[in-house]
Amino acid sequence: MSAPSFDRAAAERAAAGLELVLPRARLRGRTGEARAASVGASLEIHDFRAYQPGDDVRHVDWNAVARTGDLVIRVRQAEVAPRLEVLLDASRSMALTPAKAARAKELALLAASAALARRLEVRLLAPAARPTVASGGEVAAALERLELDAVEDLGAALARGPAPRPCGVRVVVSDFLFDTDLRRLAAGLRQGAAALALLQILDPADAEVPSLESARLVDVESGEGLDRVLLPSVVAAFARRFEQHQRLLEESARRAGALFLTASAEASIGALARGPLSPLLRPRGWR
Amino acid sequence: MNLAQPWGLLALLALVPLVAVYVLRRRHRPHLVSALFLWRGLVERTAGGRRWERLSREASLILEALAVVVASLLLAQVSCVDGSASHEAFVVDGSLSLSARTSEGGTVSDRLRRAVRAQAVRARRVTVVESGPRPVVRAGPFASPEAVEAAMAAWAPGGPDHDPGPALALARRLAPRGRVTFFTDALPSPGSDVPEDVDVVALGEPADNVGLLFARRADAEGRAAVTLGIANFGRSEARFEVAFAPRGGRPERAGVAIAPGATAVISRTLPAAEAIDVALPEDALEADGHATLLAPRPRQVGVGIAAGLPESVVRSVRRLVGALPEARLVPADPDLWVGPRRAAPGLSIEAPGQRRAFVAPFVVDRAHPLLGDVHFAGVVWTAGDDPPGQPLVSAGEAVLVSEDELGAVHVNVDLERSTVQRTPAWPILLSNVVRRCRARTLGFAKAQAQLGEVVSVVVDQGSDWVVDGPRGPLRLAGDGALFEEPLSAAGRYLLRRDGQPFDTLVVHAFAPRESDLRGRASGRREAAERTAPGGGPAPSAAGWLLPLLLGVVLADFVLTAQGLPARGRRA
Repeated sequence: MSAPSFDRAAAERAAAGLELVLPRARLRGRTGEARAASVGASLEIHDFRAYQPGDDVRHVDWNAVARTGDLVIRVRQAEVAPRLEVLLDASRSMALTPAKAARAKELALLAASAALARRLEVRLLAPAARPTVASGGEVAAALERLELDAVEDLGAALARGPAPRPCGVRVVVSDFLFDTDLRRLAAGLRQGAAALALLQILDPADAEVPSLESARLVDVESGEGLDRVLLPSVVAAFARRFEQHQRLLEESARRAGALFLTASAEASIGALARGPLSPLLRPRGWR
Repeated sequence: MNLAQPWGLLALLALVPLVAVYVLRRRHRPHLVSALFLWRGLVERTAGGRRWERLSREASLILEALAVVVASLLLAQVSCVDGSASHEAFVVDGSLSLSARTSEGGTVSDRLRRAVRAQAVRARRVTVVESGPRPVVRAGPFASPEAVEAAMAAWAPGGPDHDPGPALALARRLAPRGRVTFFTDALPSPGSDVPEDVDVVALGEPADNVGLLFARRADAEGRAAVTLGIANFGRSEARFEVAFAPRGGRPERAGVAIAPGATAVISRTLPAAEAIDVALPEDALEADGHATLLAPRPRQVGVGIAAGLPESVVRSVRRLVGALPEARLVPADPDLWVGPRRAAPGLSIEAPGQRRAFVAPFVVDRAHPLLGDVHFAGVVWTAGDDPPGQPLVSAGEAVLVSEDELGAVHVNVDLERSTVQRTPAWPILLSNVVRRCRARTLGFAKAQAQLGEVVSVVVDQGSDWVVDGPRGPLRLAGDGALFEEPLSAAGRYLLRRDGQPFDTLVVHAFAPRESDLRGRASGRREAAERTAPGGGPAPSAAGWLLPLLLGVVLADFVLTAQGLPARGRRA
């Protein structure tokens, strides 16, 4: 049996008939179809924000540029088309197993396809030393090409890479198994986003303890090693810590007002779409 | 500490892979994890809160290393020897002269026992070898002083004159690094075969002694002619009386005077009793002054002539038997049947069938005991059909003399047409056959022997044969002539068959070198090269090393079993 790989078609099939559930919160984004809480171009400037590559240069507020020296965009009240930003953790832990890597990409594509169904602007960002950025219909192809081999975890990569675009629905696909201040991470991811969904993808191997008397545990991303004698007490302590980490993650998401969902890499993308991810996805046309 | 097999220490090299495996095991097998930070800071603790696993691993390494060391010492045959626990070998002279009386009233052997006991206590571990025609270990190896004392209490020297070299060599082999002490009754003369690295303790004393050199008896017409040879091993003339005591008869005495260093032969004719005891007066050595002369048993071979033989053969056989003192004609139940082949005799003499004449030389099996001194030069031999069995003498394709698988001899000859019977070969051949038959007579080969002599005894299968001798019973097993060890004790030997007396052998202590006590002396000769009192290999170290090794292995097993963690837990 061959190792599971990214099944683009399965993800697109799973997304068919589904659309992304948009939050009731005020959305921010470019001009589009959704009723925006912001003021449109015809009346007054509702907001300013920093220029992002791809923005319409006609909306640059040159006065602000003259004042500040920074490129600033005037956001006008209008029918705003919300943007979906899919942040995909491209670190090596996401490819701990082929199934995990495949599900992660499929999750990202599922969210993007569901967003496209609502004519949302979709942007894929995979922070890494060489970040991957793709929009719209290029997302699927970008996911196919993407190698989940970053040595930095998501938090560190985000800090170094291009900032997530504000005023979008942000879906973060990661295993969130890295040592960071989860509250701060969740709060940071929530910033500038109308809504935040944290999709945690986990493989049984993430929580598996090797059936050895002792082992050298090597971090898949950093390569750091740790010799451990796998006594029952040690194994139990690891299990407790894992549980604590999960609780903290959930709490951090809740505090940040984010939707927190956990998906198993063992399940198919279709089963995930119908099951654990249902709070994020709904049948198209359903109100 | 002594190592009998230093090469055994090479087993210590096993420590190298042992430590290497331990180090490699500590390095652990790598396992990729996605959340190493969750493992950090987790301390291996048992429910009791001790760092058990690290301790058990190191303790296990120590125990396994200790097991390797102990096994190496076992292989190297280590022994711990200190100066007070050395191993010595004693060689006690087993010859007859050690039974000589001393001026103290005891015997030289009594002095020797005391000396051996005293030295055994100092040595702590002793091996005692008795010298003789064949050395015998009397105590040990590594016997305690108590065991030595018990062995020496049962020791009774009385053997013939012999070379102590084999016994000393055996003692050296048993105590390669220990002291070897030879207890005897005279210091070795310069140039003797006693090695320089042997201590010699001489406990004898010079004494005058008169001893028998030989004793013979010849019976005729109811009278026994006894002849004795007596030697005076003294410094002055010996005048004494010899006692002759026929069993059941009246004892007689004969006066003798022998000059110092001279011998005398005396004869006496006595009634031919079953046994005649001869005794000299008691002196320093008692054993050489007694003899028991049994009535001679001719041990003749009864020869029977079967019917069907040519008259020439019958005449020849009769003539031969009459000339042989060890053979006699018997009308029935002979030991040797002489007859035609069809009678299945022990000796067949006939030439049936087609006659053929041959002239020597013939092909003769000189290695055969019947033909060693038989020569057929110039013989004309007329033979008949080939006899059965293995050819012993042949002429071309014709077999002249053969021996079949039952031991019967077949002489294929027509004496009326041959000249062999007129040559010495003929009586020699036939007398060889008779003598071989005589040698197969059940019982002792002779009735009287001397110390150190080897006497064969012929037994057959199917009976229980036991020899009761001065040193206890000896069970015999076999079929045919058995040649036992040289007789090392004077006295009467009774051969029993199925518990019943069958034959008797008397061994006399006629040993001139042992009887001559003039050269005996006391003294001590220190070994020229003394080995360090390490005593040689101590009692096998396996006595304590082996249980230690087993204990270490068991402890490691228990320790390892307790330290095994649970496996395959999932978080």
